[in-house]
Amino acid sequence: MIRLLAARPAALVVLLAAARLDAGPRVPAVASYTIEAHVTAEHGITGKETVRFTNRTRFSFDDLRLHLYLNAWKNDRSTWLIEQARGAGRNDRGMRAKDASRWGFTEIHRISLEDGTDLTSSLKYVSPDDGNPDDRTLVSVVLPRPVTPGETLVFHVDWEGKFPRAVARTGWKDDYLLGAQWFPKLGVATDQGWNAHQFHAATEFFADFGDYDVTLAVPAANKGHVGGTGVLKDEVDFPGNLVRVHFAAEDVHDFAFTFCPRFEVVRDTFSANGLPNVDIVLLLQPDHRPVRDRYLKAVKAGLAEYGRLYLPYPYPVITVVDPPWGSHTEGMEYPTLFVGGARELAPATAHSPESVTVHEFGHQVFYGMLASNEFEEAHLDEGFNTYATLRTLKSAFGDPSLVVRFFGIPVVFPSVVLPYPEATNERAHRWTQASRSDATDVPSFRQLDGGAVRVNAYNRTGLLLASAERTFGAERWARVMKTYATRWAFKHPTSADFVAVVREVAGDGPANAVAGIWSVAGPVDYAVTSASTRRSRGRSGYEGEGEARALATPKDEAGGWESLAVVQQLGEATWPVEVELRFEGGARVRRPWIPDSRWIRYRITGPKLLAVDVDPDRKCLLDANPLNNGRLTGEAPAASRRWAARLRFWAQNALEFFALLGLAGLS
Amino acid sequence: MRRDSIVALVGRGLVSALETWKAILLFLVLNAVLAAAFLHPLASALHQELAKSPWAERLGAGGADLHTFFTAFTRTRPDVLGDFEKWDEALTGESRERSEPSPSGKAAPLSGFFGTTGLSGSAVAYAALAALLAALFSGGFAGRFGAERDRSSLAAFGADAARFAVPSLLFGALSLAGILAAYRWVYAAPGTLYEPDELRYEWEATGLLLLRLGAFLLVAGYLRLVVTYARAAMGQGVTNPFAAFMSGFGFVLGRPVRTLVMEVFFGFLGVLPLLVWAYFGRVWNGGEIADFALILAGQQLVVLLRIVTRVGHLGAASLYLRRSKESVSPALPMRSPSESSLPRSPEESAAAPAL
Repeated sequence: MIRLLAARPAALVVLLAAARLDAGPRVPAVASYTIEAHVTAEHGITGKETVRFTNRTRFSFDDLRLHLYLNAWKNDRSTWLIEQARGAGRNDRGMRAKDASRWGFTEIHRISLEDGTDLTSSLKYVSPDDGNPDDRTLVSVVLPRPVTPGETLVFHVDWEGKFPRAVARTGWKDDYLLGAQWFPKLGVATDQGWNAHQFHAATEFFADFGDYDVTLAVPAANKGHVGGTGVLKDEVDFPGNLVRVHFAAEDVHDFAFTFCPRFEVVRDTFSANGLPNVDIVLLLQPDHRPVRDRYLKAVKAGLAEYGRLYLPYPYPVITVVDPPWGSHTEGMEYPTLFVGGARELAPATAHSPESVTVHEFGHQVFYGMLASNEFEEAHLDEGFNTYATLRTLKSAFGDPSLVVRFFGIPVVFPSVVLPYPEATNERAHRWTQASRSDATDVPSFRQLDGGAVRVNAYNRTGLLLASAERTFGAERWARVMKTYATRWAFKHPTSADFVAVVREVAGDGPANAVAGIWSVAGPVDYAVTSASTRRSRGRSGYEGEGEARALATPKDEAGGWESLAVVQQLGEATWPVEVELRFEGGARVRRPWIPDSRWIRYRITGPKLLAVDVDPDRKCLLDANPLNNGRLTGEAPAASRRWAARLRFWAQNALEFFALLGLAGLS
Repeated sequence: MRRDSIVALVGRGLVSALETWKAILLFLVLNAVLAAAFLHPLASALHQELAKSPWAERLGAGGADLHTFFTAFTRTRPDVLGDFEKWDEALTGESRERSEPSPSGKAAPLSGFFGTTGLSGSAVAYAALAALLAALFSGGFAGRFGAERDRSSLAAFGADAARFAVPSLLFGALSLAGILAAYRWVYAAPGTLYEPDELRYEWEATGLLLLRLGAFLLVAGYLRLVVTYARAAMGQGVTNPFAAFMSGFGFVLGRPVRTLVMEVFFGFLGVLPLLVWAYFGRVWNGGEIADFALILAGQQLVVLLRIVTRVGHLGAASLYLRRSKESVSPALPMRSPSESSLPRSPEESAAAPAL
């Protein structure tokens, strides 16, 4: 049942406070935070945090590494803005305007140990990724003595910050705020030391699990309209025209919050056989009321499908944030909270907001629970989730139709179906054909540009997994994915861990195929480069020896055909494909690609060869040019004639259109 | 029904257009030839790609294969299509976010239309050629509508087209420049004054976009109207282009609503056959020639009807102009070109008694 609680915020508090807290497994906490912060109406923030760090590695840490993510928007010399300016995928969205309110920062005023030892003077900005001396997104604080394995260190941080007008991931627009990456946050403790990177424009995050207890004082106008990671424990009025909200979350690796006085709070519950019940809180913009039920349906589809195929969602609540128009925070994920995105006019066949909702929910599994390193192996989250999203969308909503917006008004073309997953992967194919800058296994933050990161992280890996499912069998592949997810939940897996699971569940062939695609920057491209057939002829030239030697004249042999076909591997990457030879009379012969061959020549004598197809069932979605995958021995001009005739008619009308426009017009 | 009611003028305009059927057919043929030439590289590339490919069979199935073929085709043959991003932007009003920001954060409003590769590269040239033809033909149509008889005569049409070639091209250039300027300053420039994402609601951004589009279409519509009535005046004997232009301008200025309603009416009539074809038209299967002939005839009928509509607008304008002048000075009807001292076409000379 859906209850609209916008008018009754107090009821919301009671309901959420009653939500279960014990649904998930306990994960040994590494970094837990207790935070008290005040967010002003001008988007400033002052906070105090107590961090409890338990060293569960074999490494002794003689310093702390803290992310100060909001410094990405401190000035235009930050690594984030430099990378963005050189093509990480977004324009600067007005950041360079001389408007102080658009910039953000984080500044640590004091950092001290539990016993009062002041470490502030040892604070030093570091730039291990690019050596940029102006980047302030990562700081090192030297400790008086190392934190040894098994030891727990408690330290306090007082800081001040300001949210930027959102460019991406975090910030404000008008009265809306998405508070993400907003507090000084530890890097990840590993056996090799800290894994902590600067903030990059094209990659996301990596953090250790822990518990969060966060108390925020925000402008009172937002009372009843605040959402955050975990469970809202209470919400009370606070002096200074503020409202104080208290959230608690266990077994998570980040904390984000949001508020907007315009949010309408919609509450629903997901329940399905074999899966834990989950409360859904949708914070909806009033102008997006028409898509309310579509948001909820999409979240439920995600909870059901991801729960069945990968991991059940273990937290008691999931908060869905519907951002306002132009917020630039659309499509972001945080533990137990994610940001969707909707348009006011949203035809159902466009699958928006469904696609972003399912995708961002899906991160709860791959980013939230598996928690791989997104700085270095972004594909383990985005690529796996892209694959899972398209599967879920296809099963829950079918294929979308083309929707073109003409001056803001959507027009649906129902006859133009955009099939999942083929229709969503053009970007990957364009990149693999044109750029080939980096293999997927190059650390994400080191790849050439945003295009390379996005393609490797999202589409190429998504295509890889979809191709594996088609090639190695849906059932076997489902076992691979399920085993990987359950085995590595809350353990920060790597690509090598996934390949090991593939090897164990599906065998060496699939494991090598997956690892092979990740290790090559170039495309998969198989092609039939020639196919011909002719009537068999008897021998010509001399036959016999001595006196018996006679000159044989060539003549057609009735009924027999000699055929020749050449198939080649034109791309740099390989995939286990099949070659099909089709003959007159309906006979078909299939042969697997011979491993390590760059080309194969087939000589066939017998029935007339009609066509040769590489990967005839289109199992390999990675093939950058499927048009060269087949060849006929004869000609079939009907299709080209048909399409040329069709296009000619539209060209006539296009040219006539210039008369309509009056460009030196007819009328 | 009043003789100068809009419906009557539209009807009479269309009848006038049909009277010039030979010229309209000639225009249709030229349009088809131009389209075939424009499309030839694409048709040829499609033939190369499909004639010996199993994709030819799969395309009939539609769905995933259809989509895969055309996306792969545009990707693997960028030389054939070129970059239509700017055209796409102009037609939809939706700009794709550019990965390489320009210093101002916005692309120049008219940049990007003049590509050098593929169909997009030749689109401007073919559009200009189509417009040039249209401008030349409009002189002929205006002349014929100004004449009382021989409207179907191709020779007379040709003579008029030649006679009015220079002013027609001038009007054409004026129309072109005016509409481009309107696009630049009425539609595109106001778009640089605000950032859609900074508006609070999407409907505000959509509203402003539609407002800009509406303003542009209004200005472009009036520009077209002024040029249309200037051509009509030219056909009725106002040989000085400036005087014809001022005549058209004055006429539209005096009747802004009625002329605009007529423009909208003809605009709707022009789109109607295309919409009908888009929804109900058949697609040739590439096989039977008889089917092809039938479908081709249907397609050409659609284009023909659209051309008739455009020409009909000029005919209606000519009639409206004449009626207005008659009602102002009924005792002094305007002399038709056959009665004027302008050089006459050979056919006119033969048909009309010497003055």
